[in-house]
Amino acid sequence: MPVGSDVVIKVTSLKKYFELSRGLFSFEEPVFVKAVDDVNFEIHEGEILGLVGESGCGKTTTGRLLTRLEDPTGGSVFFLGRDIALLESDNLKVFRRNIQMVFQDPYESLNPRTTVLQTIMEPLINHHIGKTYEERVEHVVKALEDAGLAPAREYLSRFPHELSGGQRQRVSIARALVINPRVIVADEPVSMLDVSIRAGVLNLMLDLRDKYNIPYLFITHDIAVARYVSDRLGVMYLGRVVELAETDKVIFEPKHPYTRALLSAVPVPDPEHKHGRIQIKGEIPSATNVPLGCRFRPRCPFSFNECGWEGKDLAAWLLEEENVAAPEHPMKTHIEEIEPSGFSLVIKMKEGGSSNKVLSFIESKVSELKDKMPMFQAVYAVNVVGGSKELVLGTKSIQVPGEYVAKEFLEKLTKSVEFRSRGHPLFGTILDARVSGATVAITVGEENPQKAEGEATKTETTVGFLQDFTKSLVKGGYSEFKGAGKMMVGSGRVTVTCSQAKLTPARVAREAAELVVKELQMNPRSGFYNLLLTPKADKSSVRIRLCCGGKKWEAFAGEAKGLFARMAAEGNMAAMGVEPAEIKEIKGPKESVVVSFVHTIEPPLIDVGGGHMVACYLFKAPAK
Amino acid sequence: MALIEVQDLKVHFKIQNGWVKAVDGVSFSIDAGETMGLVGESGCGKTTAAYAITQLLPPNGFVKSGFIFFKEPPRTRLLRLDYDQMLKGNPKGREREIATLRARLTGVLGEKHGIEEKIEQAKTKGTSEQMERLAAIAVEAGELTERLHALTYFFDLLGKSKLKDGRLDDFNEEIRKIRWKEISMIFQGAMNAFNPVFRVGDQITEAIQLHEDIDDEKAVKRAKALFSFVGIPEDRITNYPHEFSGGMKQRAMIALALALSPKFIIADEPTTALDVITQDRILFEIRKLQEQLKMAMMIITHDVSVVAEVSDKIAVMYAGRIMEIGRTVQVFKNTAHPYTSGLLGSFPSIEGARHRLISIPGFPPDLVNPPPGCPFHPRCEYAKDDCSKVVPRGIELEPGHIAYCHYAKELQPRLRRLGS
Repeated sequence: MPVGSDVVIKVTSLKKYFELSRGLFSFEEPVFVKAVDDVNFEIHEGEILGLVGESGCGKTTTGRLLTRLEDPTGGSVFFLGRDIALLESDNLKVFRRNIQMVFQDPYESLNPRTTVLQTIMEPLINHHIGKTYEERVEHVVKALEDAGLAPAREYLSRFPHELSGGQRQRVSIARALVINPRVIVADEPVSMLDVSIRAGVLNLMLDLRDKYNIPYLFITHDIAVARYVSDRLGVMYLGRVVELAETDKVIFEPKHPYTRALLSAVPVPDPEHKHGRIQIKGEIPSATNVPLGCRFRPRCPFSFNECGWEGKDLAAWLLEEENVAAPEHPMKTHIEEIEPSGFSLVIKMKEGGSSNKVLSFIESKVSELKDKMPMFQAVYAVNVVGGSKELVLGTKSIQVPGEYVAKEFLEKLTKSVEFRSRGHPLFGTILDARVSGATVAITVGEENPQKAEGEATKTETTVGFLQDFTKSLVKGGYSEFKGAGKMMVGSGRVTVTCSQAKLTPARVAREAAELVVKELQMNPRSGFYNLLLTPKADKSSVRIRLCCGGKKWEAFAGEAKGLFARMAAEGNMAAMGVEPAEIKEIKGPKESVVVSFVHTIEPPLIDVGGGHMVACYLFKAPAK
Repeated sequence: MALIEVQDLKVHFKIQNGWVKAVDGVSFSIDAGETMGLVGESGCGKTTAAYAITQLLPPNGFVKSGFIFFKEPPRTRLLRLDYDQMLKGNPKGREREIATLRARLTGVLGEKHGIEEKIEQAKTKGTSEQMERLAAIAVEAGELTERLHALTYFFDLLGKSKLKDGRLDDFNEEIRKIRWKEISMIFQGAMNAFNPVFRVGDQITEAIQLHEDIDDEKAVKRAKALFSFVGIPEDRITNYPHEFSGGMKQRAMIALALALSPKFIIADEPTTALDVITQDRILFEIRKLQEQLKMAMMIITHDVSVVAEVSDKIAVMYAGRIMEIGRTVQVFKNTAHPYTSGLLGSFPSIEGARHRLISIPGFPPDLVNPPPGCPFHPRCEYAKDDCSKVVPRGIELEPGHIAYCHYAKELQPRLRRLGS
């Protein structure tokens, strides 16, 4: 589908993480509930997009992000090409007028102390629509009639308690309609209504769409209802859209295993209907601890070797199916503890346990079950690791010159905000941005001379945006940008001056750990592809453990040194703060067996043909 | 044969400005090993009917009339029906009959005592004549007792605890023995049905030990067996309710309802607050119970599709009355009541072509002043004059399929139904 001009709402890699409260004196890493985790979709003019999923899958949060009742952690929502996160004052008010919400519970979303007239007139007053009282009453009457409450004048002076459930929901719809919004977000609008009334409200929403061509985001847990109203249907699982296509395609040709399981569980009002049931295992995992690889994999009946198996899966298998903790199991005397670490599993030995026995046990299981269980096909290597060793890359605080900060700033700016994309508010505003010395010079203007209106406002928006951007960077832990707040405004030019800054050892360690993962662990050309445990960055060092035999440690230390030297030569300041690798003895069991799996990223939502978007490695994009 | 039979049950609630006629003349029966779905919109009285059966009505609930026969022997049931037919509207006749039967029974039993005393005094085994007479007396006494029970509605559950004004005595000893032991309930919203400050396992063993005299160890063992039956790991009986997910709480609730192997379970909206996949699993669990334990069940729900999945028969309720009752297939495929048809027509489905839903106009009536005649007539598109005057009697269209509509026979071929 071409990106037409009729896109009303565009959502790109939208994220919302809620931080869990940890108590006053907890210094552990913060824990986040990933309510919405990389969601992408578009809503076109006159279209009803349904969003279904189980409770806790993030569909309501998505709706709230769309209406800016919540601010996203990452990604953007574009309303008619403008990022709503950057709207302010008047623009925000216009936006709020254009996007309206219908809530789930009509018994709670209406003020019990105001009449229907007052309730519906309030948005008119707030947005200064209608000059006189009489004119506003006319608007209200029209909205009520549109919402199917006729004769409308009879309802004006009623209070919510005098209305039935269906009538209250119609009043909510009238309140949303009265200011002619461009989009309506309806969050479970019929789930509190009685069956015989529900159909009427659904039909009303369909009729209004036909009449005014208003697009809806229709959020519901009821797949039959979603099928009835929506043109396109998105299925959400654990914060992510896993399938998105035209409604009938999703219903009759579901592709993603989760959609298939979900549909097979929907009861059908026909006593003679026979189900072809797809059973899925277990329960929805916690959104604080989302599985690596494909997030549906632990429950998926069709999972195969490419799904991204992780240490946790093997740990669960060892404990539950193989039952290694049982006293009669031969491995019981050898294994002390099983500890998953990302894509690897560390099996720690007991005092006097033989690591070779465990190694051969795991290897025999792998070769035995390779054909039966896809998890074992995904095993990349099984190694005995001298458990008491650790590679430590010490980090020191480094002074970075303004030039460096400026360069990083420009890179962060270009990476995080695609102001070169049509959707962005700064699109066409920033003509050029380049680093000269410690300053980033941004040229602001308009390519099209005919549209050159108020250059001053343009520089103003840019400055406002840049200030917010810097603030968000500092908040995210990039303390070196603290000094980047000084902005000079010239004619058509914004200059950001960056001052010299200090990178803390912790910042360097974080950066270095990322580099190790990117360049050594996930790079197939590296000699240590898939052979590292997740590096741990602490206050002044990165600690890395290898999951292969003893001799490779020196080689790895060499490779790490080479990597950082190369990066430093390329001008990566963080790499300069890393000291040469040191192999240290640490406390702990003497040896452990490490099983490593192939590193896999989450399956992206791709078009597998005819606009049918699926996020599953079972389906590949058709060859062109 | 019927395990439970509800006859003309009327439960009214007293409120400030009158009486809410929540259940207004409901009759149905459920056989052993059968599942009945009781379907209706909120406020149609389906939960009230269930609470009347388990006798858990709130203090302002009054049973105005009706009987609930539970586990009545088949002969008594037939006799009762005979007597009801015979003495209809003739309470004096009934009283006379009771008095005669009582007199006869005392006479017979007196004779029995006499013979037994004689045998005792003679210290012999008794002559063959005497023994024959005793056997005959036993048969006669048995028959008389049965008749008396039938006449006095001896097996009526409500009769045991109904106070004079129609209120129920919650603490009646006999009812407390029956409740949970014989009739148990899966409550609406399992989320809140457990006490949050006690372990789930303890709440189950408490119920077991209240009714049965067994030690802690055995009770815990039983609770574990119940947990594994409903598919929860046994070691989780020591968890608190908040440690369970919604689906697990619902399963634990089912385990609690099964704790004493009751004959009859009432499930009040067992899956309403659950997600589709969990709902599917719980329904599967319920079907498994049905097949393995052969208990009777009543499933109360507003969701027609859930009923289609699990129940053998279905009763559709509206404004405190039953509108249509019959085998599930009969009601779904040969719908004979306009309300049932409207209800089925307003349910979207993921099967078949997408066609416009047809909603029922208007909204459910106020049960303080229900409309005269058929309660559905103000919303019925086929309503005629007499619908607003005369309460319709049940019309039996097929054996077991009854519709409470004056024009059921005429309307049946014309109504929208499944697959049309």
